[in-house]
Amino acid sequence: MEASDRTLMLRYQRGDREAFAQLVRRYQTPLYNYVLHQLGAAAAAEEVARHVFLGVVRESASFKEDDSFSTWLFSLALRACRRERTRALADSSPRVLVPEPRSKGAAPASDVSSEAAERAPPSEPIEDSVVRAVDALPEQEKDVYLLREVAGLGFAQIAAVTELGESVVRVRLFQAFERLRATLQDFEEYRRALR
Amino acid sequence: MNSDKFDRVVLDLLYDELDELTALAARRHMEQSARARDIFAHLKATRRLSVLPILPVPEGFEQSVLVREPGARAEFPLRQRLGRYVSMTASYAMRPQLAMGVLLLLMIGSSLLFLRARPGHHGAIQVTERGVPETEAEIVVPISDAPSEPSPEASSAAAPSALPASAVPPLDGLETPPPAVTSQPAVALAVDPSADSTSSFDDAVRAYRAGHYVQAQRLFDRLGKTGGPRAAEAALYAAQATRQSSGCAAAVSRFQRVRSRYPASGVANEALWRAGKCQQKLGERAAAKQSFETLLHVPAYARDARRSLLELDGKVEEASGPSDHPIGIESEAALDATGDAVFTVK
Repeated sequence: MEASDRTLMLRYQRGDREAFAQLVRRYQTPLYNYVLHQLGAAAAAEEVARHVFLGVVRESASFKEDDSFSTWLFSLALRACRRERTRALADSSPRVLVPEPRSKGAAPASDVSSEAAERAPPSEPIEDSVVRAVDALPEQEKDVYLLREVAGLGFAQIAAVTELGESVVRVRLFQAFERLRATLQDFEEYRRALR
Repeated sequence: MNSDKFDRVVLDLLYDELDELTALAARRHMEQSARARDIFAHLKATRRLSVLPILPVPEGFEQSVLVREPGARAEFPLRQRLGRYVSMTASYAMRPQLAMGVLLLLMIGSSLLFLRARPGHHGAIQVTERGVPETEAEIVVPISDAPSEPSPEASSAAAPSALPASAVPPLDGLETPPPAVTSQPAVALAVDPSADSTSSFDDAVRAYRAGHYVQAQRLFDRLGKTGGPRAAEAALYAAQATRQSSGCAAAVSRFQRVRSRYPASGVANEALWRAGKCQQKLGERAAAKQSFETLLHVPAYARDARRSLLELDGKVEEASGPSDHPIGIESEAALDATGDAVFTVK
């Protein structure tokens, strides 16, 4: 039977490095993808995700027995992503969407307004439209959407990570779905899914 | 369920995080409301199609984290690291203390079970009296409900009885203490063999004769509680058995209770007399004096009460006890009412 996150973290606090390795293996994929979709750049996502895990090491003493590890981890991740976004804005480094759009003519996300991103070109595959549409979501809606759909956190956990109320979290998520629906409703796949 | 409620729970329904009842209510609402059906259908379709690609982590990511982990730990300031080690050590140290604390609470809790509700009389405690030992032939006044003037001859040898001695002849064999308690004087329990004594009363007497004072006291107590014509007698004998087993300190209150419980009976004055002698032994001069002064008005006890008062005032010398005056050497006339002393008037 696998040890719970809490057990592994408590073991790590007592010096069990293998427990930390298990936590890394368990959360590296959802964390990396969360950061990737937040930042939109693979290299930056790898660096930030690594930094988040090392933040777990540095702040391991602050982890309490009652805490949820996933909530704590993605709280660190959200703060790291915001710092990175701020730094990236200051550096004005171009962002590249991941995965690379299949259609050659697709413009980089940084050059596209949110309104333009919602109107996907008909030739663009739906997956690319989704990536673009998610990237274009307002910050709060994007945070909530990614924590729900990529990190897999519950509403209460998302509320703890984002420091919003649960009802506000639901409202943000609903709004995110509405924006994505506006992007997707022209696709045939969407119409088929409605039936 | 109304539309407002549905709007609040629709996302939970989408993620299948509703409880069974609420989910059922939401689905029933959707059957009745086209708006609700439409909202849910669009949410469901959007969610299904807006799945983001989940990419694998870059090659060597895990190793790059684990390689840097010791460095991240070393980045702690020395003070913080020491604090971590202290807290880790303390967390280990606290575990046995927590266990010990729980154990202590268990011990305290369980010891409460052994607390006595009332510190009652410890009948099993044997108290050895120091000082003037009791004489061997301490005679209990024969009991009857009608106190009468004793004859002058009887007063010198017998107990200061308010009743004619012939009414309740003394028990055989009680002049000699039972082997188990050789230093204690025997008590001649006056029992009228012609009286209608129950077997339990006899059992109690037998126990007393055998030196089983605790058992005798218990049996007499039981007889006293059941009532009947011999209840007062039994109460007095029980008090006497207490005196034998536990000494005067335990017996005084019992004698006083007998007096208060049976004020009109023949045992009342005897109980007061014995209480007074006990008080005298215990050095409670004031209480003893009061007891004897009360008995001055009872003709049967007047003479002995006067003697005892003189003794309390130091005007007479209390002679040594029965061990120095074994029965047979000195006549019983030399023994006082309780057999305690032989008075030598200065």
